[in-house]
Amino acid sequence: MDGPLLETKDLCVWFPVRRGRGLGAKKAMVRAVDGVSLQVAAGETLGLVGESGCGKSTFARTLVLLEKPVSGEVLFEGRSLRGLGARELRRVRPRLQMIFQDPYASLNPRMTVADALAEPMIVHGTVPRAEVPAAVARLMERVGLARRTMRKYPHEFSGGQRQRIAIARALATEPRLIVADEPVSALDVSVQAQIINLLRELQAEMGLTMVFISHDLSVVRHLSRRIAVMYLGRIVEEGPAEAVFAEPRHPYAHALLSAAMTPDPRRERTRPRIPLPGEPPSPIDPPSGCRFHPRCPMAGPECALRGPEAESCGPDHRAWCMRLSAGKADDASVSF
Amino acid sequence: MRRVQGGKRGQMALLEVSNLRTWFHTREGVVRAVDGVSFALEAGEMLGVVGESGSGKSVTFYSLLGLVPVPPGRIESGRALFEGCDLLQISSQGMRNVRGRRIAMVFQDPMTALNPYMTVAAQVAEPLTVHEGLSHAEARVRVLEALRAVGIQDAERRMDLYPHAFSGGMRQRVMIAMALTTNPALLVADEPTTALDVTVQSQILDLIAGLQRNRGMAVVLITHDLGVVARACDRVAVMYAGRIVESARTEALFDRPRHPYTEALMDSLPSTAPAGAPLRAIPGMPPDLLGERSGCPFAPRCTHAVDRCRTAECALVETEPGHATACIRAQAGEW
Ligand SMILES: Nc1ncnc2c1ncn2[C@@H]1O[C@H](COP(=O)(O)OP(=O)(O)OP(=O)(O)O)[C@@H](O)[C@H]1O
Ligand SMILES: Nc1ncnc2c1ncn2[C@@H]1O[C@H](COP(=O)(O)OP(=O)(O)OP(=O)(O)O)[C@@H](O)[C@H]1O
Ligand code: SF4
Ligand code: SF4
Ligand SMILES: [Mg+2]
Ligand SMILES: [Mg+2]
Repeated sequence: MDGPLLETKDLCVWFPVRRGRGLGAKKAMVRAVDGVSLQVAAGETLGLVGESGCGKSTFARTLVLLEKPVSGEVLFEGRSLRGLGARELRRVRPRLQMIFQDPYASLNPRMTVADALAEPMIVHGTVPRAEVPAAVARLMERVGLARRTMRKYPHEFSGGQRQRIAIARALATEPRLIVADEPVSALDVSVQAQIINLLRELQAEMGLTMVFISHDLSVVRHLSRRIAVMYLGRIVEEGPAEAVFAEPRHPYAHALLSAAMTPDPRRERTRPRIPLPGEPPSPIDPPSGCRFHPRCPMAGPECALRGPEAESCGPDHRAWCMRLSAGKADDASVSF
Repeated sequence: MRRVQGGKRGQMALLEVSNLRTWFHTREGVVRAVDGVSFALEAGEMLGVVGESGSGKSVTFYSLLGLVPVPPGRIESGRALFEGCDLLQISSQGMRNVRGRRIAMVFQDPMTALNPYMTVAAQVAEPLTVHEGLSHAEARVRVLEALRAVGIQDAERRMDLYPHAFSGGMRQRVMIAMALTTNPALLVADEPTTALDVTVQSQILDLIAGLQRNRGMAVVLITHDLGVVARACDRVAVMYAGRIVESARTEALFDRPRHPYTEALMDSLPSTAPAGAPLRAIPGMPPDLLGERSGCPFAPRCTHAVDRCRTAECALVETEPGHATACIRAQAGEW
C-alpha cells in the first residue's frame, strides 16, 4: 500500500457542555480537537505531546473509534472510517487497538489472564477457536508473562505485569495500529524501563505502527520517530524526533521542551529555560488568530488577527507560527 | 568509616532523625514501611528524597508530623529532633503548634488538600487566624502578600474565588502560599509537581527554590523523578524498601552513585540510554515489605550481589565525607 497507514484530515472533535446554571444555562462546545491533520506511516511511531487538556486523549480515542468527530475524518489504510457499515467496522476494529494509562481499570477483574487474552480473538474471530489456547500461550510468552500464571486474575499481578497483560490483550487481534495513551505513567520507575523495552521490541519485531502519548518527554523521544506537539486542540509543530528535540521551532514547543528535566545536575542548573507565562485558555472560547498568542513571548500584533499557516522548517518538519520566516521566533536549541 | 547517626560534626542540624521505624500492623502481617531511617537536615538546605512507589518516602515524613494513622500504624522506634524538641515525643497540642507553623507540608494533589467549599482567601488565612490570632483584616493583607509571593496574578480579585476556579498549577501555588504564611523553618513537599504539566512543574520548582533561597527555609522534596532532584536539590537521600540506601550531595550522587540501586535507577532512564539501544531495565519487582527481612533488601535484583549480601546487616555508612551507602560491597571497596 502506498500512502500513510493512518491519516487525519482537519479532524474536529467537540463536546457539548452547559455553561452556567438553571434558566441562564447556555450550550457551548469544548473544542477538544480542532482541526488536526496528521499522517502516520506504516511501521513508524508518532509521539504526541502537549500540556494537560490540549486534546491528546480525545485525539487518541477518536483514532480507535471511541469518539466521533464533528467534522474532518480519519483514514485508515487509505479508507475513511466515517460512516462505515457494521460489517466493515467489524473488520477494522480489531486492527486498531488502544493501551491506557491505568492497566487495572482496563482489565476485567473477574477474567483470568487466559480469558482476557482469548476474548478479543474469539469476539473478532481473528484466531480459529481450536488455535486460541496456543495463541494465548504464545502471546503471554511474547510479553514476558509466565505461562503458569494464565489462570490468575488481574489483582494477583503487579502494576507492571498488569500493563503487560493489557499490552498482550491489545496485540491479541494482530492490530496494525496501537494507540498508547500514557502507558507507563502509572508504573514504578524501576518497572517503566521494562515496559518501554517491551514496546520497542514489538515495534521492531512486528512492525507495529504506534501513536504514543506521554508527559515524559524522554520516554516519547526514546520510542518515537516523529513528534507532534499539540496546543489547545491543534498541532503547532511536527517533524522528525531528532529535529524537533534538537531545535524546536514553535515558541510553545520550545518552552515545553526546555522545561523537561534530565538527571544531570550540572546541565539542569545552567541551561536556559523559556518561561511560559499564564495559564492555558479555555478550549470553549479559544483565542483568536494564533491560539498561543496570549502567552507567546514572540507574539506580534498580527498574531491575534489571523491563524498561522504551516511553515516548513526542514525536511519533513513543519511549524505553525507566522513569525518563523521573519526569523523572530527564538531558535536557541535545547539538547536532550 | 562512620555510621550515619543523623547530625553533622558539632553543628546543630535543623532536623535530626535517627533510627525511625514505622510499621503497619495489618491483617496480612506487619508492613515495615519505614525500617531504620536516619538523616539530618541543615537549615536552608533542600533535600531530595527519591525512591520508587512504596519505599517509605511519605510515611517517613508523615511519622515526623504525627500524620500516620494509628492503628494500623505504629512508630516502633526513633528520635526526631527539630529545633530542640523530639517530634516523636511531643504532645498533640505541641505537634499542632509545630505543624503548619514551623513545619509546613504540601501534597501531591492540591485538589484533595483544599476545601472545595471555602474560598481561597479563607483557606490561606486559616493558619494565621488560628495560630497567630490575627484579625480578619490583618490576615487578608498577609494572604494577599502570600498569593503574590507565589506568583498568582490578579490576586486581589481571585482570592475570593473557590478552588475549582483555579488550574492544577495555580492550586499548587495556593497550597504553597498557605504553607508559607507562617514563615516555617521547614517545608515538606510530597511530590508537589507530579500531577502537573512539565512547564508548570518547572515553574513550581523555581518558586520553591526561590523561597528556599530568599527565606533561608529548609525544604524536603519528595519525588520519584531524578530530573527534579538534579534540578533543584542540594542533597539527596535514596530510599529502597523502607530504608535510606544512599545519601550524598546531588552532584556526587549523580557523578558516582555508591549504591547499586541508585546506579541501576539512573541507568534505566531513557535520557541516559544511548540512542537506539534498549534501556537497561532493573530486573524483577519492587520488594514486598511484609514480614521480617534479612540482608540487603536490593539483593534479589542486584547484579553485584554475593552470598553475604543476603545475610549482612546493611547499615548506612559514610565512605567519603558526606557520601553514605548501605551497600556492604561499596563499603568494602569491592564495587
Ligand atoms: N466527554 C467530554 N465532555 C466534555 N469535555 C471533555 C470530554 N472529554 C474531554 N473533554 C475536554 O476536552 C479537552 C481535551 O481533553 P483530553 O483529555 O483530550 O486532554 P489531554 O491532552 O489528554 O489531557 P491530559 O494530558 O490531562 O490527559 C479538555 O478540556 C477536557 O476537559
Ligand atoms: N495505612 C496504611 N496501612 C498499611 N500499610 C500502609 C499504610 N500507609 C502506607 N502503607 C505502606 O507503607 C509503605 C510505604 O508507603 P509510602 O506511602 O511511604 O510510600 P512512598 O515511598 O511515599 O510511595 P509513593 O511514591 O507511591 O508515594 C507502602 O508499602 C504502603 O503500602
Ligand atoms: S504565530 Fe505569533 S503568537 Fe503564534 S506562536 Fe508564532 S509568534 Fe507566537
Ligand atoms: S549489599 Fe550486596 S545486594 Fe545489596 S546492593 Fe550491595 S552488592 Fe547489591
Ligand atoms: Mg490524556
Ligand atoms: Mg508517597
